[in-house]
Amino acid sequence: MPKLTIDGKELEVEDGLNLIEAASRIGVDIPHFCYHPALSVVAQCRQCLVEVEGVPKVMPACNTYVREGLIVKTDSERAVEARKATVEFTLINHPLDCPICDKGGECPLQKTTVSHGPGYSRFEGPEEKKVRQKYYLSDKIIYDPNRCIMCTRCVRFTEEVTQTGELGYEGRGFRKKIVVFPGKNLDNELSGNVTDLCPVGALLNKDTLHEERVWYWKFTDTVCSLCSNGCNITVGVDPRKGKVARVRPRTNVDVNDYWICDRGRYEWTDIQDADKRLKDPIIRKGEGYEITDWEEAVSFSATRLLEESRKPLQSIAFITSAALTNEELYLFKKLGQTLGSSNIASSIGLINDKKTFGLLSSDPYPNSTGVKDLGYPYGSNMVFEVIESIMEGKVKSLYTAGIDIFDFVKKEDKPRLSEALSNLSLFVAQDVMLTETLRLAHVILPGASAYEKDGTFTNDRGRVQRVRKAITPPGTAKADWEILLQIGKEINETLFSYKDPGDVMNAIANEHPAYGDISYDNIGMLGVQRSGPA
Amino acid sequence: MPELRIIRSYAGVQDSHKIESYIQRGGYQALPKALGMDPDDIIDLIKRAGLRGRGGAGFPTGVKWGFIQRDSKKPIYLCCNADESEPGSFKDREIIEQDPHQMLEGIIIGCYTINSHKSYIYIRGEMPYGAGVLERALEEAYENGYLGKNILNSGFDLDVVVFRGAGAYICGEETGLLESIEGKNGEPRPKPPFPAQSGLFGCPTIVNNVETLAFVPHIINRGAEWFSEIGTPKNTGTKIYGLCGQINNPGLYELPLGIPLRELIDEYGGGVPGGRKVKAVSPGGSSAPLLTADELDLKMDFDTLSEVGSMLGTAGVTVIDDSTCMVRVAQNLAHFYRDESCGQCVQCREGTWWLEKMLTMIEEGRGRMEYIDTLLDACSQMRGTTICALADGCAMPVESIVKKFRHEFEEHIKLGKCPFEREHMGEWS
Amino acid sequence: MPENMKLTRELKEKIDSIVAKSETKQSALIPVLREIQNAEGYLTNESMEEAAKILGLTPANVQSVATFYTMFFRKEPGKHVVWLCRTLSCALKGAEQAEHHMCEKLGVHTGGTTSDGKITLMEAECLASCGTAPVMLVDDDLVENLTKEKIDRIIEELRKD
Repeated sequence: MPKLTIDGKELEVEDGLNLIEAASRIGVDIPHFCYHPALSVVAQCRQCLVEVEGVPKVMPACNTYVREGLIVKTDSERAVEARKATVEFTLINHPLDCPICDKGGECPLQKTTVSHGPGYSRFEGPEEKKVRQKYYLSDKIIYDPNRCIMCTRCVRFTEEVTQTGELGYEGRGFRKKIVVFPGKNLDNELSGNVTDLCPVGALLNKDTLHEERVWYWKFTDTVCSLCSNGCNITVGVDPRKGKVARVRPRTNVDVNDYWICDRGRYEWTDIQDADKRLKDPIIRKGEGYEITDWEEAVSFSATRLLEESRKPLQSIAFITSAALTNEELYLFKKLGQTLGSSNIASSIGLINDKKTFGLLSSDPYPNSTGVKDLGYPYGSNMVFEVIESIMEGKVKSLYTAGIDIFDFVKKEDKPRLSEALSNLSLFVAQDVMLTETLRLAHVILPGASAYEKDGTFTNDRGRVQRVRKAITPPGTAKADWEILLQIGKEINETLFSYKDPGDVMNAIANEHPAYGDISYDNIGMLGVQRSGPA
Repeated sequence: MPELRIIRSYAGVQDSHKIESYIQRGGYQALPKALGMDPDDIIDLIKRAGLRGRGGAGFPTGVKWGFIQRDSKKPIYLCCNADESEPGSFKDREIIEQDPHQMLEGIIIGCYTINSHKSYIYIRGEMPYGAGVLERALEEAYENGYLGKNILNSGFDLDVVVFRGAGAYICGEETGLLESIEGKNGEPRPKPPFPAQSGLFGCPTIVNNVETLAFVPHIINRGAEWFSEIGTPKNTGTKIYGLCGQINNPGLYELPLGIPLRELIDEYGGGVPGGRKVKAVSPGGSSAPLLTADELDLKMDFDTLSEVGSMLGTAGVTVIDDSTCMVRVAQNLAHFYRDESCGQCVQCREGTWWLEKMLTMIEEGRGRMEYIDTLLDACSQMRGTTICALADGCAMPVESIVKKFRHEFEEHIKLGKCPFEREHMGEWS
Repeated sequence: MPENMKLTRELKEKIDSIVAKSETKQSALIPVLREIQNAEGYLTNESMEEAAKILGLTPANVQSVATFYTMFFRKEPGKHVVWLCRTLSCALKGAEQAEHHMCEKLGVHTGGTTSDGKITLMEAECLASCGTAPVMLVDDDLVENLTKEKIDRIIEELRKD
């Protein structure tokens, strides 16, 4: 553990750290563009120049490593002047078009210019700047060579992280730019990460090009729900629009490092498609459907469920999926048990240890582990068994949450299932979008997507992580835990006296030893490992 | 006074590039001697001779060789830098084309000394003739048992290959050169690590200039004392000086280090043509800060020139007469560095571009007085702030021209045009 | 070579022998590109992809290298390529005049190819022959101490070829 001095402060850090990392330990922020902890060190942007005692030249902090007795000055006149000059050089050919640049407001170059730049430019004649065509690197990402400052993070990302090597250079010196090979695209599953890595507005997302201004956004730290890896994400929302503008990775070296996949980044948008979403509760009246309010929907569901449960030879089935949070799964199962159901099941995804780039799982559900941990009979066999009972007429009433059971039967069996579902004496269905299943329900309860509610998912390595509400669900739709809790309260006030998902987690912790130590107070930003095998 | 020819013994000799010619002139006599020596003794000998790298930096060759850990588990490489691209330098080309075996003998001795069994000669792509000469010389050397397995029954094995560049000045920078051999863009590497620890393919590597290696056999043959008595105490031996630009007798002259610049220009170069006067001199390749006519009494050696803020570099002297516009000279140089910058570091990629732009604007009469100080400031921030010395190589001459010929810049700006009558920078015959 | 043609067998054999002699596959890249250019005149997208495949590199790697070094052509050059030095010592000896004369005589800008496809005129940075400035490289041959007459003679020879 070498001891060194940075700006007069002595610190002891572990070997192998560079000066950027070491300085950050004592709150000294050394600006940089090309350095990234997950990529090789190239020391090209020269923005992190600092003075090291005994060394005649200013040194790049990214490529200077801690050593016993090293005396580093980031605030000496030479270091400050050198970094100021670097900003001036960097801006020579960088268009000053921040007002129309999507990166504006969160641009490291813009920030560094304010904090470390000279505050003026002596470069005259903007007409003298080199101007080059923008072009698309893929259908998702556009590249502006004029804004590019050649930090090469994007190229190193495709070489070192994805090892797909789509990006290369064309030309050298001031002509150099980033290119894809003619006829090829930047098309790996992690490609969107280059837009986060880019420290300027050279690599931008096409989907929101010129549509968003980052300073309006509110950010919510949550977890991606599109597979079982549970990548940590930050969701940017423009509150005026009430929509998610951007999903970005949140660093968690135990889960997703610095990255998310393009699915998590771009392919969640149908939950924001108002036409596809269920917005209000719906009750079947006679041959038709009627939009109703929650009071009626909840009381109808609770009353009818109770009635069904009290019938002799009753048989109520409860089917859900690993799309629900732990808290919701817990409440759903408890509801089934309270009503004496012996047909409770949940689908899960197949957990495959092999993940693409270490983070793309083939299990499309966020919470298959939670389903197992909470003691559900799980898997498509178990779900199918319940469906069989429905088709055989053994099940009289049904409650589904977050599952389209038609996905579990063969095409030729679908009419049989349709008929069986139509013959149920009660069918309550809860989901975010209208499905084949929902069309046959007596009550349709509009739930919320993972971006619209609070709770936890347990990822495929047994890590319990918080999902947080970033936006409000459309119409009067509610978080699934809230719906379940309201119905539960109508059925038995005492058994369902939870205030919120945190309260439900405490109950889970009481009943499930693997979650014994877990509460919302200690899950934190990065989640906690539940005990037991992953 | 005639030249003091040690390595230019080939001059004027018919078919000097052939092995017979080299042997006739005493070639390949140092090799058996060296193969019988302890490598430490060779290093010591080269150190005592005071041989300094002729590629530009003047680093002591013996010390450099001493950096190699000879018992490394990885292979050790010696790369011969034959990428001569420094404007104003044309000495290595002649050695390569006229006497390839001389440098080759130096390579073999160097490899033996650092325990290297594979050597690359990196020759620039613009020298196809020289590359052909080298390739034939290698064949001759293999045929005569100077290369390959068990060289001269010493048990020492060595393979040497010629690697041709493809057009990039930056590959003359030693780590750019290594990158290029590895099949990459010739982008210099951040240091540390230095090539002696981790060079070609991540292995310990020494990079030596052609002229440096050509001296090695002579030092082995004639001893450190003999060599160290030539030149000045800290700048020993001879140096091939190049004379070019506006001078009556351009060409190469091998003379002891430390010869006064005036003597070189007037006696060997025959002075400036057309009865004109020397205005400025680039003493050691284009990266060296320029000297004025008042500085011609300086001695042409590493230390003297470095003391006055210039450098000996490759000792390729470019003479500029008083009919030449110094703004254009600066612009021409900035253009060169701008086009040759690899583009990694911002000070270099943007700085060379910016300098060229400002100089062009001044030359075209579009400049403003503030540009002069901006040029100086930009130059000072380009020095010592980048991975390699290319930005320095651009900033140093430009800065010296602006400082020493400031009045010419002011005149351009005041007049709003170039005050020199000549349409072109120089006249051809 | 038409864009859709693969490398000839002869060229492939040459490439294989270069690769066999190289210490790493990647280190064969520059010699391989030179060999392709020698055979085909320039580097097509197809040949670069092929080279990438043979050397286990990405096409983008190959493209980077092919565009970093000035002596590789991505577009078909003329039958003969003239590299005229523009750097200081040549400029001091009239390289600018030589360039103007060449451009006028050939009817092209620097970087262009004559309409008959015979000659491409390129600007070179220092060719390391400053003592005999101005100089130019005509294909593989260095021509020194350029004069108007010398240039005229060379252009005539190249045009005839």
